[in-house]
Amino acid sequence: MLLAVLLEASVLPMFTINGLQPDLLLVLLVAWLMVRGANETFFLAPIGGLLLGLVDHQAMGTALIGLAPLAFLQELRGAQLREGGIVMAVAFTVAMTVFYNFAYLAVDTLQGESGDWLEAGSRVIIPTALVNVAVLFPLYLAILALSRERRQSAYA
Amino acid sequence: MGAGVLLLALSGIGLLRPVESVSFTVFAPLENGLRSLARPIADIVANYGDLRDLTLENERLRTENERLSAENARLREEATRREELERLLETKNALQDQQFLAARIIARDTTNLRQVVAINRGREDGIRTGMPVVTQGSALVGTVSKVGPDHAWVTLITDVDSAVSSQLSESRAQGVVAGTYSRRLAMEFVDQNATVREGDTVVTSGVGGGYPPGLVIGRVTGVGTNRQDLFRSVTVEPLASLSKLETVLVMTSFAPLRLSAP
Repeated sequence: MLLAVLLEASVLPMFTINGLQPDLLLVLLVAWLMVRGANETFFLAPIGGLLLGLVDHQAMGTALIGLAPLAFLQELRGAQLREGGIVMAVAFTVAMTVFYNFAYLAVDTLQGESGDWLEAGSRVIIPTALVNVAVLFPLYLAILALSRERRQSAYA
Repeated sequence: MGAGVLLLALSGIGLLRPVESVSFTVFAPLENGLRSLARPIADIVANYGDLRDLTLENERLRTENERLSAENARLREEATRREELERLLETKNALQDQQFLAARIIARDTTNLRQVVAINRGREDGIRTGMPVVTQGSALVGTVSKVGPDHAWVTLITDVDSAVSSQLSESRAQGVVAGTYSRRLAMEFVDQNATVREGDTVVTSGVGGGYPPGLVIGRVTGVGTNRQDLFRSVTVEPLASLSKLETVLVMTSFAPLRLSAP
């Protein structure tokens, strides 16, 4: 989690797609939820949110609020015995991106620092959702591969 | 969610500031190290993507070079005349007698909604809120918005929360350059009858006391033609390459004015 947070704050801004960087922690948590299930994500999400709050410009707690819907998504994913599908992961990523960024917008508005929400949605949030989905695929596959490897070595 | 709201409230009243400062002191070297490791890879990726653009830009620059050589000769003559006028009016260059402190960018805000960067200088280095930040070529980058003991956050001019009193150096038309979510700059409140042309230089006007006058912000890239609007819509491209900033200069000798109500 710490590495993902530090990468998101310091390195990812150097690798933007059309000026946009992915929400690495958010995508990582969604992929982790879909592959590894709710039990691990239940602890990882608040830890990740707290760490992100320590290194970003926003008030502490903003990231936590933005990641809160993961709890709801954990219920949606359900107690599937096999890893969650990629389609559900994509849908979760888009939904989380929208909520996450609108949570930041809401906090900015409360602090008197926000612009036009409609413009933010069309110019930033929706394109960011696409970027996040693009980053989701390699992360999802990597976690899936690591998860299967761990299971195989546990059974061996 | 409840924990998040609680932390937000505590942060709002400043109780978490020591925690935020300490965490930044701890994480800043790690972030710096990661950026140093990633920089060569980022340069390769950027250069590969830029190859075709560079070829086209090369041709464009050759043509512009010819045009600029001719304009250079004309401007030398005008500069001589301007120096005489400035002496008469006792107008100072915006950057004359100013002191600067070099700082390195160590992080950016993690959301795409804000254009804010962190630098490795803070209160202990003499940085204060409101200090203008420029590039080494003296193009305006932004302003210091939050200061910690050994780091500071700089709100870039492309941030939606940024608004810089500005004017066109050619026609002296006044306006306010504001950041937008598309990372472009919009020069607002420009009079409909003002003379605005693509390529005009936009500089800080000094009105409001937030910035010294004469700092270059960018160039006009688009002018709206809708006469029904109250003001002209002007698009400005920042002169500073804000997405590729590595080192900046903080103008430590400039203190923004806090104007009281009339």
